[in-house]
Parts: sequence; C-alpha cells; structure tokens
Amino acid sequence: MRNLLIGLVLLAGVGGSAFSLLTAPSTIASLPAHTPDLANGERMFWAGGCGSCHGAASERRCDRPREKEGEDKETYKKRLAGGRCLKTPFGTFYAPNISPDRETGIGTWTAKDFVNALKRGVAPDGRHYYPAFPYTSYRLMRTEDVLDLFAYLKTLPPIRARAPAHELALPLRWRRGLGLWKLLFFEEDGFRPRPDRSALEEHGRYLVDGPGHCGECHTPRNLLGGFIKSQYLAGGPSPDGKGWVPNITQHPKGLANWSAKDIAYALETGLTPSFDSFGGAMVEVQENLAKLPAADRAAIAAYLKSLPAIAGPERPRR
Amino acid sequence: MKQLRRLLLLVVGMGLAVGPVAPGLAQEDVIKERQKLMKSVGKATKTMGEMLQGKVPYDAAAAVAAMETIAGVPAKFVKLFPEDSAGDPDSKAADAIWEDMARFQKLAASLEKDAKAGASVAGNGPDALKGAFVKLTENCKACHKDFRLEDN
Ligand code: HEC
Ligand code: HEC
Ligand code: HEC
Repeated sequence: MRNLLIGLVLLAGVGGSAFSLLTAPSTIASLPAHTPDLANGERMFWAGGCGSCHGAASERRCDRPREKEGEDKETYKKRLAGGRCLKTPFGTFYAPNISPDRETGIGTWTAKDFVNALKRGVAPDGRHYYPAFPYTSYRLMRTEDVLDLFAYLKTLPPIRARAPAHELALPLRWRRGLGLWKLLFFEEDGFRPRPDRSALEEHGRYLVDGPGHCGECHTPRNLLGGFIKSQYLAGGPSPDGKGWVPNITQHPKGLANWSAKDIAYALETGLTPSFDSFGGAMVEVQENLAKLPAADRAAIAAYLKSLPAIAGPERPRR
Repeated sequence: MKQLRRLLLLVVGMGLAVGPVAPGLAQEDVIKERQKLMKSVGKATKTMGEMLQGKVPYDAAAAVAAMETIAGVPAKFVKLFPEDSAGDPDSKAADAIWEDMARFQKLAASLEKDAKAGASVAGNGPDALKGAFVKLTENCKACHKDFRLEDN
C-alpha cells in the first residue's frame, strides 16, 4: 500500500508542468459576513473531536491520548498543544499545536486561513495537508460553523509547544504530491441538501459526514487510502491497522437490531444494547459526542437508521 | 551466574505476583473462564441498566445483587492472563495487557472498588443507583479502550 503511493508520487514527479498545474492548491477567496456564535463553536469542537487528536495528553503516548491520573478529561482536550501521534500505514503523524499561541500555535491565523485548512486541506503558506487530518470530512462543514469553531478555539488557553515532525518515507514528505491524491479522492464541494429526507435525518447526516467524520473510521478504504464509496459506513480494518471497525449501516452485521433509541443511548453512555461497553478508538468519539445536546445524538441515530443495509468487506480470521 | 539467579528470582517473583495462576487451567480454558466472568459483568450491568432505562421496574435487591456480582469478578479476572494466553485468535484481550499489567490491574481494582461502593447505595432508590451506575461504567470504557481489541 505504501509502496504504491510512493510510486505514484514519484511518477507524478516526472509529470512536469501539467503536474504542477494539477496539484496546485485551491483555496477559498472570500468569506460570508458572520457574527460568531461561541456556543455553536464549542458544539462543533465536540462534534469534530478536535481535542482527541490535538489535545495535550499529559502522558505522551503513541496510540490513545490519556489524562493524567486525577486530571479531568475535558481539561486536557481543551489544551490544544498537540503531540498525539497517529500511526498509519503511510508513516507516523504528529498532531500539531492548534492552541491560540502566536508562535507555535495558530494565534496569528486569519479566519480565512482556518477555513482553508478545514475545508480545503491547505495551509496558510499554500502547502497541502495530509489527510491524517480529516479535512476530507470537515470539508462538508458549513462555513458559518467553521467560523464559530475558530472563534471558540481562540477562547482556549494558548500553549507554547512544538509537536515533533511527522515520520514519513521520503517521497511522502513532499507535500506537493498530495495534490495528486486530492485530485483522485478529495472533493471540494460542501454539504449538499437532500430534499427527500426529513429535517432530523438531514441534521444527522450533516453531523455524521461533516464534523463527526464517522466515515474516516467506519468506511473502508482502497489501496491509496481513499474511501470505497459503495461501502459507505460498512466497516473495515481500523485506520491504525490493529483491529476491525464495525459496520454501522442497517446490515444484519451492523445496526439492524439497534433501535434509534439504542444508538442515541450508546452515543451518550458508551453502552451497547447488550450492555457491553464501547472499546478502542470509539471511546474517545463517544465521550466527545456525549457533550452534544441530546437532539444531536437523536439526529445521528435517526440518520443511521435511515441507511440501507450494506455489506462490508469480509473480515479475515485473525 | 549472578544474572541467572536474578532471572530466576524474577520469574519466581512474577509467579507470586500473579498468584496461583488458576492451577491446571489450559490456555483455552483460561480464555473461556475470563470471558465467562466478563459476560456475567455484562449481564449484571444490563440488569441495572434496564431498570434505569425504565424497561423493567426498579428492584432494590436485584440492583444490590448485580453490583455484588460485579464486585466479585475483578480479583478472579486478573489472574486469568498468563503470558501464554496472549494473542489467541479467540480472545479480544489486547497485547497491551501484558505490556502494562500494572495499569490493567489498577483498572480492575477500580472496577471492584466502584462496584463495592455501588452495592452499598444501589438499594437506596433509582437516583442513588444511577449515580453509582454511571461511575461504575466509566471503568468498562477505560479498560476496554486500551486493553480490549477493537472489533464486533
Ligand atoms: C484524527 C486526528 C485529527 C483530528 C480529529 C483533527 N485533527 Fe487537526 N490535524 C491532524 C494532523 C495529523 C494534522 C497535521 C496535518 C499535516 O501536517 O499535514 C492536523 C492539522 C491541523 C491544522 C493545521 C495546523 C498547522 O499548524 O498547520 C489545523 C488548523 C487543525 N488540524 C484543526 C483541527 C480542528 C479544528 C479539528 C476539529 C474539528 C481537528 N483539527 C481535528 C489530526 C487531526
Ligand atoms: C480491567 C479491565 C476491564 C474492565 C474494568 C472491564 N472489562 Fe470487560 N473485558 C475486558 C477484556 C480484556 C475483555 C476481553 C476478554 C477476552 O476476550 O479474553 C472484556 C470483555 C468483555 C465482554 C465480552 C465478553 C465475551 O467474551 O462475550 C463484555 C460483555 C464486557 N467485557 C463487559 C464489561 C462491562 C459491562 C464492564 C464494566 C461494568 C467491563 N466489561 C469492565 C476487560 C475489562
Ligand atoms: C477514530 C475512529 C472512529 C470514529 C471517528 C468513529 N468510530 Fe464508531 N467505532 C469505532 C470502533 C473502533 C468501534 C468498535 C468499538 C469496540 O471495539 O467496542 C466503533 C463502534 C461504533 C458503534 C457500535 C457498533 C457495534 O456494532 O457495536 C457505533 C454505533 C458507532 N461506532 C457509531 C459511530 C458514529 C455515529 C460515529 C461518528 C459520529 C463514529 N462511530 C465515529 C471507531 C470510530
């Protein structure tokens, strides 16, 4: 998988000027007038789970962030000094500092910089971001919601800290090559309303596909790390390659036997209908979703119940 | 020689720390046994959870008994993780257990403590049960997050 990507990047390298045109970052030039709503910004913060990757876990660990003994989980998730490491088949990424510190964080960023990072995956200096930062889903967020989130992040404590550099194979360190990946797998358009759905389901779909980025773990990927759209939310190998993420469509192996209430209850408490508890990466996600208003969890549940039954990839025997 | 003795002491010491590792249990049985214990925890949790969801009426005696069932599990459970039961395809126990046994045991001890505390208040009405239940189930997530493999 990694070799393939490296090959692609190298191939692209010899493509010359056509390549340079194709991979040039595209950005949003102007923003709508908007008065930020901090409460909605905080809601987007929890829906997006920013603190799970950027939160300064006191214990620096590579897999799951963890609070210091006796420390409140909410507190560390709001200390956005970065540093959590994400192991992927492409190498190891370190979530950067996104606290409002002016030197090491994003304290000097404009709203436009921030919108372009989340909705286009492009840095203020024009470089592409790696999709380990799930802008591939955040791109669907409404610009107003992103602006509210930006205003909210500015209210959090500035922390001076630099995250380590990503550890990637050489050709992958060349960010321009990501333009090609984006060309293949990244769509720029925002959230498209679907009039055939109820307002509740639509709100749920927005939360699931946009800020909630559920598909980043629950949708299987092809060899180059792009979503397999025909198996949307149908489960597959964990992004870190260690486990298996379950199917959450209405397939019998998915959530067919869960009522909407069961789903909303599980997202609030972490307890499944058989009163087992969530484990692995879903614990972080659930604990973030628990901070949302109950209506948001009900909307997510209604949307998941409206999905068709989709079979996921066959799970290999361990 | 000195090193060998150290090693021997270490091995013996580890044996003691884990206690009489369920003597005579084959690896398969160890795994079945620990899963059986966890199933009983799940069942007891369900008994209380359904009372709190209003699916069944609150029953003080049953709630206390459920907490007591859970309180009885952790001490037995942590003895069922001999080294040779790591990586078994029938088990969802993560390698992290053997990499950080101390923390794993601490989380088990915390489950026991909260279940014991829960048993002493679960009979005082649904509100008292609810508080104890929320505290209790934080332990499930904390341990399953790092020490149980992801899959369903
Ligand atoms: C799955 C982990 C993950 C989550 C969740 C996540 N990020 Fe990130 N983020 C990253 C990584 C990794 C990078 C670095 C990308 C790169 O270097 O190309 C990053 C980069 C960024 C950057 C660019 C910082 C810089 O210095 O250039 C911003 C801004 C950002 N994230 C904001 C957010 C916000 C806001 C959220 C929540 C809505 C969020 N991130 C959620 C992993 C994550
Ligand atoms: C100290 C760690 C720890 C704690 C605390 C813990 N569990 Fe577990 N649990 C495990 C491990 C490890 C497994 C996987 C065992 C195996 O497959 O070998 C497991 C498995 C399970 C299973 C599946 C059993 C099966 O094989 O069908 C259920 C159900 C379960 N746990 C429920 C709970 C509930 C409910 C709580 C909280 C009240 C809880 N657990 C607390 C470690 C823990
Ligand atoms: C960081 C990866 C990740 C993200 C993001 C994620 N999930 Fe999960 N999810 C998992 C994993 C892993 C499990 C399996 C948990 C376990 O082993 O207990 C899971 C389990 C679930 C389950 C239980 C399924 C079952 O059959 O037991 C539901 C429901 C669920 N997720 C819904 C969601 C929703 C809704 C979102 C988006 C708001 C989401 N997930 C985002 C990783 C993720």
